[in-house]
Amino acid sequence: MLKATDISYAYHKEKVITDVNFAVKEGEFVTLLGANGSGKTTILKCLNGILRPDEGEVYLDESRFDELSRKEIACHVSRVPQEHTTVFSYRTLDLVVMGVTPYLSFGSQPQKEDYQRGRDMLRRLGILHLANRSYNQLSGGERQLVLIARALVQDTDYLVMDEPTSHLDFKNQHLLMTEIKGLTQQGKGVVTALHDPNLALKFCDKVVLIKEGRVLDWGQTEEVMTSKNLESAYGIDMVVDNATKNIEVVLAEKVS
Amino acid sequence: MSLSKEKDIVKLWSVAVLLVVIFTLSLFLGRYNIPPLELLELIRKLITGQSTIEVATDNVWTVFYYIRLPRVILVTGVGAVLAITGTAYQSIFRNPLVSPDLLGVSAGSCFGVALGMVLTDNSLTTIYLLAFIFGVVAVGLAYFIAVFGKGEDIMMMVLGGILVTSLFNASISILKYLADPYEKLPGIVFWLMGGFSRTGWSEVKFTLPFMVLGITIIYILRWYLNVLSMGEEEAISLGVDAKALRLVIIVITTLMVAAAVATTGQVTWIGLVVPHIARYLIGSDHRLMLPTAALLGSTLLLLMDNLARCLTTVEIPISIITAFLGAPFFAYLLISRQESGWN
Repeated sequence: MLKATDISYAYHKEKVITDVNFAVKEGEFVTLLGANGSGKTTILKCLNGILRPDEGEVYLDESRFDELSRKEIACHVSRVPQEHTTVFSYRTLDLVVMGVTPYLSFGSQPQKEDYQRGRDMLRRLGILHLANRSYNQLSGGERQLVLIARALVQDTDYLVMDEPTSHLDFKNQHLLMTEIKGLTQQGKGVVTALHDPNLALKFCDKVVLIKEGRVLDWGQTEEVMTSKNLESAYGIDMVVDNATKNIEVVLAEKVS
Repeated sequence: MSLSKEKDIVKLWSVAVLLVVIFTLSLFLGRYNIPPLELLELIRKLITGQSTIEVATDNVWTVFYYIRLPRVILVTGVGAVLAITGTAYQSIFRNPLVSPDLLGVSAGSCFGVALGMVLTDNSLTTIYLLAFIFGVVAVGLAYFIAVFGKGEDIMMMVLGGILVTSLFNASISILKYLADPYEKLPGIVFWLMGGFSRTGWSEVKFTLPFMVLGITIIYILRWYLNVLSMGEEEAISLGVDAKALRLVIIVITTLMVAAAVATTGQVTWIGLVVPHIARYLIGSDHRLMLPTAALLGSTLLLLMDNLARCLTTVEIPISIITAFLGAPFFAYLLISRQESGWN
């Protein structure tokens, strides 16, 4: 279990998150929902150990994060950043193999079997044909999948993904969410931040609603995603509508 | 950009062979002609132990052993050091336009040289030591400005470097202004333009330990240059202590560049341009690109130093040659940057 207990964090004395509590189990798909600037990214950074909370603790099973080295954290929790291009152009397979870095002893380098692993993970996501292409020349959706492949090479129990769908078109968003859902069914715990409540409703097991750096409510998706909760989190009127084919849809009514 | 590893390894070895050829050739080039056959004969005499005194007093041997050989060794080392430092800085600062001078090491060292020349009667040891110390001090200052400013932020470090460079350049101007215009000033000006004409074995002994140690450590860390170039957050999430590793790289490169600049003065452009040529040839993966850059840095600086001492009867300062060749080449790279492997 990856668990945040009462974590708070301030950038230059300005508190961004306050007393945040929630947990992810292996095999669970949990998403943070909230408006821009509500503190989702900060919370995710705490889960990767990139930021150390000023108060509270992040726990990996029984261990506190500050008792673990960066290497140990990286062997259990990986990060899938928002789809990006790199300053220098790396071959896709070389970038994917970077996932073995936490397992390397000082001064050593990825070996043949690591490259085999990289290829296996690309195959698992159906993108082996991209292995020898230059990462920067891939499409946004392909790049996001490559970054997930790297996290799979890192072979962690938990994956932290900050807005994995943000630069993707409608079709790619759904393809990617299906892939992530598949990973959780194979036992990985996933925490994401999402902008679209509908994706959360369709794919996620649990939702953590964030408002102004605090957890408004968290728990099973359908229990948390009530129109009242969502209206409070986003500040606009909303309807949760399950009229269409039994799939619930969130619609914004009017901006107040 | 090339993506096939086997082909890249062949390229790396070709550059290595090229370096060996240029290195050997450089030993024979210069105002004083060294006939290869005569030199081989002298070496044979030395090895077999016959008439060693005759060899030691031979002009060909003196020029070869006391002037040409140390110079060519130092040029090879400095070229590699500048190229490796440029490569490492471009990775850790995630900016392809960065050079080894970024954090003020050259400005600091040059100030040390000028100070040493003004204070002493051209005592080489004092000048080297002061240059080395002030090079390290300059980078230290830039780093602390960054730490106290915004917590080791990359942008703050770059700004700290600009600040420190500007301060030391102003200080050099003060020293030049105060220096005796007939006795001291020309010496300072010529030294700062850079060159290898002073090189003897003592210069090699002073710089070589730093160079060998620094190059070895950065070479061991070459995989981490890939990881660090992805940015601090990604490096951390891959289990790498980005800040600590960056500091280690800055300390090591500063020591070796300060040692190089202390003995040779400024050598511009090599550290900026060579990484780009290496990337163009072999791609961005630092595991192959770093050794390629090092070998290319040595090769190109050897060629340029050959020009510096053969082109005219008077030796041309090295930074004039590196700038005249480096700048147009960099312009060419910028214009065709699609293929140079960076964004």
